[in-house]
Amino acid sequence: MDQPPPIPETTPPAPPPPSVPATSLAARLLNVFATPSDVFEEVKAALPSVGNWLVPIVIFGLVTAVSSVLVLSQPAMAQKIHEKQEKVFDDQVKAGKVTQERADQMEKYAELAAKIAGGVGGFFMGFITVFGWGFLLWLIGRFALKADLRFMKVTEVAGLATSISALESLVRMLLIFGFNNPLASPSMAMLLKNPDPKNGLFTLLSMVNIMTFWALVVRSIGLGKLAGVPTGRVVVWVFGAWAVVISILTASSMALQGAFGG
Amino acid sequence: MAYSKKRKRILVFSSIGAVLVVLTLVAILRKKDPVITVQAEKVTRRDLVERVVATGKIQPVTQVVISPEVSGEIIDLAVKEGQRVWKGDLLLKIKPDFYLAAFNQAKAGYESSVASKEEAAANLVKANADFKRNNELFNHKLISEADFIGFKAAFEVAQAQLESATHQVDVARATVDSAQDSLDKTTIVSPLTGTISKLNSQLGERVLGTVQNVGTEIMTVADLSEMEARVDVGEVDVVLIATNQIARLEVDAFKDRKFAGMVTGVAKSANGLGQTALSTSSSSTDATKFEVHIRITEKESFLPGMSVTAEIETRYRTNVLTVPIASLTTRMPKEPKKDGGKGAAATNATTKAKAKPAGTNSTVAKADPLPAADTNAWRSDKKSKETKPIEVVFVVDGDHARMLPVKSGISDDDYYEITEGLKDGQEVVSGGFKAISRDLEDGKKIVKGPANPAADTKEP
Repeated sequence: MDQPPPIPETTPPAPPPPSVPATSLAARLLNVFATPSDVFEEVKAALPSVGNWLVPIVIFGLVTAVSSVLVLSQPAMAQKIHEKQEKVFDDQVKAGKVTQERADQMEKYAELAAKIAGGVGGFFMGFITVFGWGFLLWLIGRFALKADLRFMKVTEVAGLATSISALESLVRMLLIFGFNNPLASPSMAMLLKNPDPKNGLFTLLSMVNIMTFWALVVRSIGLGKLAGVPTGRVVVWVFGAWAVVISILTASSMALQGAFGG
Repeated sequence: MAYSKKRKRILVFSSIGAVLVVLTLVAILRKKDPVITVQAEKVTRRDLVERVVATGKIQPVTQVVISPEVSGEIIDLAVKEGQRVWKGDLLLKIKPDFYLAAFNQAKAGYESSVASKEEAAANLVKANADFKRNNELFNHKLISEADFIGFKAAFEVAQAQLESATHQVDVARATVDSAQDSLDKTTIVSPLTGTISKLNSQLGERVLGTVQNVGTEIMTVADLSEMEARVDVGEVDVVLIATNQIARLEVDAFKDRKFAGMVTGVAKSANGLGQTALSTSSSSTDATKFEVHIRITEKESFLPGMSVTAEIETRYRTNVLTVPIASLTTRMPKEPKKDGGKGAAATNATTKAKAKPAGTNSTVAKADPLPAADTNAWRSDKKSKETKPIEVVFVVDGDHARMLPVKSGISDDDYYEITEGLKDGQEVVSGGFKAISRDLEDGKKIVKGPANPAADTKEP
């Protein structure tokens, strides 16, 4: 009996080479506000791009630095911030946790730190935000959504979403000047008559920040596009992860406050 | 699809842009009060001593200017400047020749008058004898009446001459006494124990002396063991000065020491009062000062004329609320609301109601050139113009200043006593000068900061 002719081996078709994105980086940074889905579709199909995460970090750092300088240049603002710091150290002295000389020294360092933080802290925070969210989103994608995602691609999503955080810094600065309150922010904490960072209600209402939620939604859209998962499912995971992280950070902050007084 | 995406982009960016524009406008247009940099200090309790500072000179308590009562050349000057003398010590002698001659002349005149008197007495005896003898003869009609009258007249003349001679003796005696006195005055002795603080004349100088006026001031004798400061106090402060008040004296010659003193006298009239119109015309613009005498209780080698600054302690307060002097300022109180409508109408009605029962007043009211409402409005305007400024301090209330009216008491160099309006522990604005005197008002935003001397330049 004749053997059937062997089936010729066919190699699977090669995946289409990654395409150059149709829009520029500037367009992507702007369109992430209006049409994030399209932006992240492009990112998914495109080659890795450093600009997608580096440029937003730079923008975020610049906006934060300028805001800091402008706010601290106002004598009333500087005085309010100084008084709050002074009160913290005075409480520590009264509680006997530090001596007056030490408190005076720490107050000087705090002033210097505030100036440095205002200047370069934005860039530092930008890096932390982008890579921190990149890592968090990668974890969600890997373990919750069971998607094989490359870390830097997810980081690009986190980076582009940071544009919204830069806008939030700008809005925050305008609110501080408009309401003459260094604690002003686009959150429900603005409803409080006497905002106090030590107040639990203030902390809770500060989290209800429209711009933060906007950024979270955009990140969810990006992750969903990369993982090929419906956005609604991703939103739950992203918001959940955010809530856990915020809770851990808030608890740590309160523990530190309790340890050092004030 | 692309069109809807484009519309979506336009909508989103427009919304973001609109929000940013609105927030920017709010930040720019929102009324921002200028923030005033101030310094602050807490209200504290302390003891206060009010002091009046005055300057003057040190002078001896007792000081006599020696001037002669007779004129002449100094032939003997027994003292030098700075020499200590005791009461009765010879100071100087004036050439006595003229006065000695005058004395001798007077003495001779006196003796002559005594001789004249004796002569007159002898004449009287003769005239008396003649009169008695001829009186007998006249009684026996042995002489004529004319002769008798002649002898009588001669007797009376003799009597008168004796009386005249007696008075002449008195005159001569007085002349002798005067000449003796003038002669005695050519020797001048010290009227008190002290030191020759000033010697103006020298041996051989001619000095002028009169009884009615002050002559040449030859020297000054002062008791330097008892010194006092004579200081000039302004009319505003002199009402606070009283005798027996304690004073601290700083003498320029003894910079590092302060001397104790006590007020012993306060002038009852201003310096320079009672001068002629010519002399006062140039000093009419000078400040009115009153001389205060302060006895220096400590002994030191003070010399008359040394400059001294006295701090007289006038009033004391213990444990009172105080604020820095710079904190206290004045502001005009806010004008009360003008009730030109209802208030004036009510007053008008009252005026008319009062006028009616009087009867005649209604005529006067009608003849009044100003209607009552306008009069009352004019009176309230006049009162508001006459409103006086009130004393206030600015209390730090967070980042705002709160203006509080206060009543002040005494003050020392640094602090004012506050009798009403403040509590212990409140923080008051103590600088800068421009902020307190002009810029600060109730509710203004403040920030505590370092003093800026350039911004605090006091305006003339």
